[in-house]
Amino acid sequence: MPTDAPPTSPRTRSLIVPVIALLRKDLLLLLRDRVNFFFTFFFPIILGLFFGLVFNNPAPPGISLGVVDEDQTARSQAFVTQLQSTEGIKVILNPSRDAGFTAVRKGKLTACIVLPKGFEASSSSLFRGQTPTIEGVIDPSRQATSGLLLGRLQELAFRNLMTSFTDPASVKSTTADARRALLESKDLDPVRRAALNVLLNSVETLATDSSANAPSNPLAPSTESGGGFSPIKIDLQTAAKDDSKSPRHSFHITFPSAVTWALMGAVMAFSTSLVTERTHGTLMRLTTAPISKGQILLGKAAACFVTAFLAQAALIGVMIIRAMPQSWPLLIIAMTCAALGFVGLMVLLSVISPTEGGGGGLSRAALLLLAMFGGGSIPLAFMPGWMQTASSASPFKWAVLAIEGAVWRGYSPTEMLLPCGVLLGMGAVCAAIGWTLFQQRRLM
Amino acid sequence: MLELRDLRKSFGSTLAVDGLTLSVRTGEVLGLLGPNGAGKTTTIGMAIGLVTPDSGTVSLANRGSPADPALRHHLGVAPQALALYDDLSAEENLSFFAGLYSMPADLRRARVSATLDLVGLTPRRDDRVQGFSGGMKRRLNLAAALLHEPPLLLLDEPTAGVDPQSRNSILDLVRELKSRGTTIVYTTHYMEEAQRLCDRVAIMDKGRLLALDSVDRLISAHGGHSVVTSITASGESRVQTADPVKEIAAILARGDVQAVQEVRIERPDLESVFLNLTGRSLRD
Repeated sequence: MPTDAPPTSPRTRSLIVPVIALLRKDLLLLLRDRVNFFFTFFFPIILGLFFGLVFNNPAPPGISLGVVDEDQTARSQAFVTQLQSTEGIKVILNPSRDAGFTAVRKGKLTACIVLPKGFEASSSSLFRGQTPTIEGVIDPSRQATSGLLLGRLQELAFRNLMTSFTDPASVKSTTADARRALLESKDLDPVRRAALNVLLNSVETLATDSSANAPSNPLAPSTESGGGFSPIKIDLQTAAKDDSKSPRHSFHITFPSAVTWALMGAVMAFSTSLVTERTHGTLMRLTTAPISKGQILLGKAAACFVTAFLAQAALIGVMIIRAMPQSWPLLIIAMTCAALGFVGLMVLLSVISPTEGGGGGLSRAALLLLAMFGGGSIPLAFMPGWMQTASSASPFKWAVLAIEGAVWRGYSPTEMLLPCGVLLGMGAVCAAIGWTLFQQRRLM
Repeated sequence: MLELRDLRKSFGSTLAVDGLTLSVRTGEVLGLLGPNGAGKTTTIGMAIGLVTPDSGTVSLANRGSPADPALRHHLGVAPQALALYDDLSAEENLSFFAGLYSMPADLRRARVSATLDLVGLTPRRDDRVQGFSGGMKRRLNLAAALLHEPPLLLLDEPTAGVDPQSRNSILDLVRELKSRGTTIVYTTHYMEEAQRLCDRVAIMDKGRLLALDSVDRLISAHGGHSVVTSITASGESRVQTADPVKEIAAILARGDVQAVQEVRIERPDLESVFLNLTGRSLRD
């Protein structure tokens, strides 16, 4: 077994070392009890994965794109129309930038782009070095689609550019705009001015000729490279933290629910531990060692806490493969409170368990009932009103609520106080009753 | 080392221990001898502070009740029921029990190794207890009581259900501990063990202490006479006598020496003592 870190004083040592010895021993025994270990650590993960994958509403194969047209010009509207006819992109028009960006944060849209004021003006000022800019945000969980979206937008911009050069009216408008700019440039060298006028004339001529010989499908994508030139600038940011208070992945629902089973497994693993010690005679050895009854109970509680916390951590570890929690600090607090709450329950059950068999049955019955009412079997949202009210008596409800609060409900620390406080309160009451009963109990 | 004064303990209507007074001297091996149900285990339970007596007092090393966790460093207990974790190895078991005594890691490792050596389990130190024989489990059970080198060791039926080889090994171990100065209270219902090991023997029955003295004195006081059996061609004769040598000489003097086929002396033992004190056999 690992070496202990030496505590500071003999008294501290005599208080801590036996508790650590009990903790290690119980964890080692759990590790070697394959059935209990499986039901505590692996069964909840299997449940979370299974239901998460079964009920997962996979993200649509296409891109759900919100568009905010702030420019409201013919060119911006044409751009939106072209987007709507682009394969793989479903366009949802949004009235404002805020509404569009919020929809992305809520997971309702893959991304949202804004065609800002001046979009048309900058589009027609290519010869003046202005590039039209598209701003936008993308759902952080859909980062993989950002490349695809950028590609589609660039492709569309190139098509528009081609169209501009093959449409004499568009070119005339653009060159007229450029000529105005030339006239306004008083300090331009006359030679260069003359050269630029010649260039603009040539462009107009080219546009007219190109129009006459235009391909049957002017919108067909060009196979030629842009040579580093981009007709559009796209500024796509990752959406900020989601405070939408709604799950963005089925794992956000199934894994916090699976915490129920992890906590149940941890409590089950240790609720018969004391009575097993008594049955196997080892409790006698514990009680003849220079440790108090309180240390014995504390050792059991510590082992249960570590197990409950690690079982939750294992679940979260699998969950984050597909769905990240909103707040890590709050999640750790929630897991700690859930583990402590259920340690209290374990202490009570372990002390009142009459025999190994009876204790196991009692624990199973109590935990299943509490889990059933607490949302372990049926999600709370689907329960009738009276059952939702009754569920408040179950620590499972508060554990799931606390975990969900950190994972997707977007709870603030203040909002987290309620579920965490209830868990700690329930745990403290159960532990106090168990502690009192254990102190009064004859051990031999 | 251990003082038990006028201890009484009832479980429901059953009087388990009835006014027991006993003093265990430092460095001695005291045997608690009696049939099953005599109250030995309850006495041990009170002596180690696990069973609260209805009346009477227990004092450990003149410092107070062994129910006080601070005094339990003075005690080592090997209970009759094996108190081990089957899913842990021998070393893990001992390391855990050493941890309960707050031993620093270095000392813990040294004590575990030394104790495994002492009980002859070093070759099996990494094996899980569930694969051990009954004798090996008994030795490990005893080892767990020795880890912290207690001055007082209480062994409750330490040889129950073990093979003769393991029994001899345990008895040798007790002798070794005695030679190191450990005070031992040894409960058993095997009179041979009590005779071989104990400096003094307390004979218990139905919760009461019937006699307490050295084996020789108990036999002298309560064992009765030796029985001399002589077998000749004409038959067998049994004579109770305080002086068996004199009786044999008399048999030989009475007739033809060649006619005596066999002479046997049956000396009284603790079985005889128990029989004379209770009218029942130890094995009843």
